[in-house]
Amino acid sequence: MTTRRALMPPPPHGGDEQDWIAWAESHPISELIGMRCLAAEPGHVTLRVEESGWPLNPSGAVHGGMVLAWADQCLGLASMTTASPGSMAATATLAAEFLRPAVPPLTYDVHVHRSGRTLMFISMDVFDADGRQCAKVTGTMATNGNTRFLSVTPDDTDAERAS
Amino acid sequence: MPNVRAELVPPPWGGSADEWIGWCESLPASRTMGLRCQSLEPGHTVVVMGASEWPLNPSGAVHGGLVLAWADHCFALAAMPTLPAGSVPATASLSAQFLRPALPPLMFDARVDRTGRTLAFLTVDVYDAHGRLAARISGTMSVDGSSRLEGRPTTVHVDRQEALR
Repeated sequence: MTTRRALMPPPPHGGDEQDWIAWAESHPISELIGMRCLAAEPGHVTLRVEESGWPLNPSGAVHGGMVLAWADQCLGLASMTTASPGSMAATATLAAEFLRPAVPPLTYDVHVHRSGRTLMFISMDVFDADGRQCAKVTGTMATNGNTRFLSVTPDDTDAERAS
Repeated sequence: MPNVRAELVPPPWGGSADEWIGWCESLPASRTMGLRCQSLEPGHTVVVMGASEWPLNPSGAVHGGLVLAWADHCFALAAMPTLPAGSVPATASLSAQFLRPALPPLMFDARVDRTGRTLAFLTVDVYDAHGRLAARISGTMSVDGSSRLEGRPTTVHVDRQEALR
């Protein structure tokens, strides 16, 4: 089990689209999975993944689990474009519907619908190699934790539970 | 890394629990994640994930996306033994709640709540290193896809002797 932790580059709040694209692609997980950012503005990002780290299903589609793993990464990136500087976000819920086999490359079109003090509501459409929608994913992110998410240890969560 | 199709690992329908456990652990995605199957009976599978192939979150928790990826994989592991030979299940919908940071190693307890002719309903509870519930994932799988795929290269071998050859 790896204990290596990903270092998060700080989001370029107030930056232009190129800053956001560079930031999204420099995220350690983005680099690992080869996630490219096609467009980015606060509240809307478009991302693409061409190659799957897991073998494809025998049908040639990306494993549904990997589709979700990439979707959750998209949630994180999109949330940071609207989060207040210094805050972090953690996925609280995620729901997905698989419309057809996800033949790569996959394009994720992600919208932040509302960004409140404690919750963010995000949805995305996933398109297959032929530009057909193959999945839709919605999620909520918890954003009120700020640095809480940076330093969770078993002891912290125990204390939290006891308080 | 380039996109490669997974080799077909035919499910051992009619086989023993040990054969099913061997099947679980030999699937390409299982090998990628270092999956160990602790117990398996039709409709209830408990597995432990060995290694996170992605770096952990700054908090030390497994990336939520990978938790989902593993949970979706568990859907198939739990559902397959409950299905008629030759079935090719596919996840139709999935919904997840993240209760606390998923501090590894993680244990996935996957149950089939019901298998019908066209849908299977599943729930996966994910426990963290301290045995606390870290996430709960529920979903549906379409299980009537076998006829649609009949005759195509994707069809799962139903002849175990041929499959084992």
